[in-house]
Amino acid sequence: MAERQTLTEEEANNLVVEHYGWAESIARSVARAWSLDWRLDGLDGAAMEALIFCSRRFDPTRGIPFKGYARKRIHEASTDAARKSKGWTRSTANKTAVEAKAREISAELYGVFPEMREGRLPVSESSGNEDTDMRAAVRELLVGASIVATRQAVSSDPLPDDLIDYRRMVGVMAALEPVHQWLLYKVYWDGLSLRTVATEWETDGLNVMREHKVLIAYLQKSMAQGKPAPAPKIRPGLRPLMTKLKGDGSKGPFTDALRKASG
Amino acid sequence: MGKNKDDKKVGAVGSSGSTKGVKGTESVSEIEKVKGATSVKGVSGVSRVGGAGALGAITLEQRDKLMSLVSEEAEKLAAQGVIPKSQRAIVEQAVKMVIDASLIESAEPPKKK
Repeated sequence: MAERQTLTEEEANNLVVEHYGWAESIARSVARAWSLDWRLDGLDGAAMEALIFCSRRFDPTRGIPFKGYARKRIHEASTDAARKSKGWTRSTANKTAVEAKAREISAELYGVFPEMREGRLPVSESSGNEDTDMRAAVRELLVGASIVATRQAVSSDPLPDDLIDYRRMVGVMAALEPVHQWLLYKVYWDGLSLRTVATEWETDGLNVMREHKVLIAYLQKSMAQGKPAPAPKIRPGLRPLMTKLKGDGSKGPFTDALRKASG
Repeated sequence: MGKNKDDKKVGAVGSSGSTKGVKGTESVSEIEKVKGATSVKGVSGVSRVGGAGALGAITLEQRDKLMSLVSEEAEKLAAQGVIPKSQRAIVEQAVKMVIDASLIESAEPPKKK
């Protein structure tokens, strides 16, 4: 593996000077969305620290522009600082319960859709029409947020309606192939990103991203018709995993959960 | 005097193994016609990595459009029963927050007082 070629201290410092305004604008965007104060709540410091870190680690020989390399890290540092800030809980007390819950869900959604940190909607392949892609991506985000919301509602003092929604959702997921159940479980229950799941499964990231899109469409269809739609087929890239899971005798986490619940 | 090579006698000749058999060849069951090559329908554009114009990239100028798209789609999904009605407002707001926090306001450094 080629050795990392970092910048000299002076060059790295120049990068910081050149990009600090941009890094602060990322912190301001995060603060604006979550109704925080980007300075009082320490997002400015976190963004600056991440910028300095990135300037020291940046390897110009890899052919990635500095902004492309640093944006996700600076955004992540800003959102982490936001969640640890006093403003996160302080403004929660002043704001509506809806806003507080929405904020928790949105923070979790970055785990599922890390490309959002880079200012990109989850579009793994273009249909050729920007509006269609945008609408499909928004739908994917909404269904993803709904899964997170249902799971979060059940984990803390659920209302009877929450339990019914949860059971309905788990019932639909349990009709899927084990490999698909595991994909959803790892992303929405274990909090792994789609890319991390792909790495864990030793497969291409696009395989998992495209499969996730198919699963969201399945969930959407199933929830709309009130019963599981035909289970989607497993794409070739994930078939070796299916064979392995079947060999392990795994029926999938949701099938297992339903079995346990029904005694 | 050296040994005469002609003195060597062959002791015995082992029997040669008989051929057990030759499997019959199987007949070719079917020959498919060579299918004509289909034309390539089109080539999609190469996605650019990172920066403006990357696949799915959004800008602050699209904010209003995106926000109304979220409301529209949330309403549809709630009407279809995909999003539980009790969650609609929370889910809609959560997605708006994610989008909002992903749009960079301005790259210009703030003016110092």
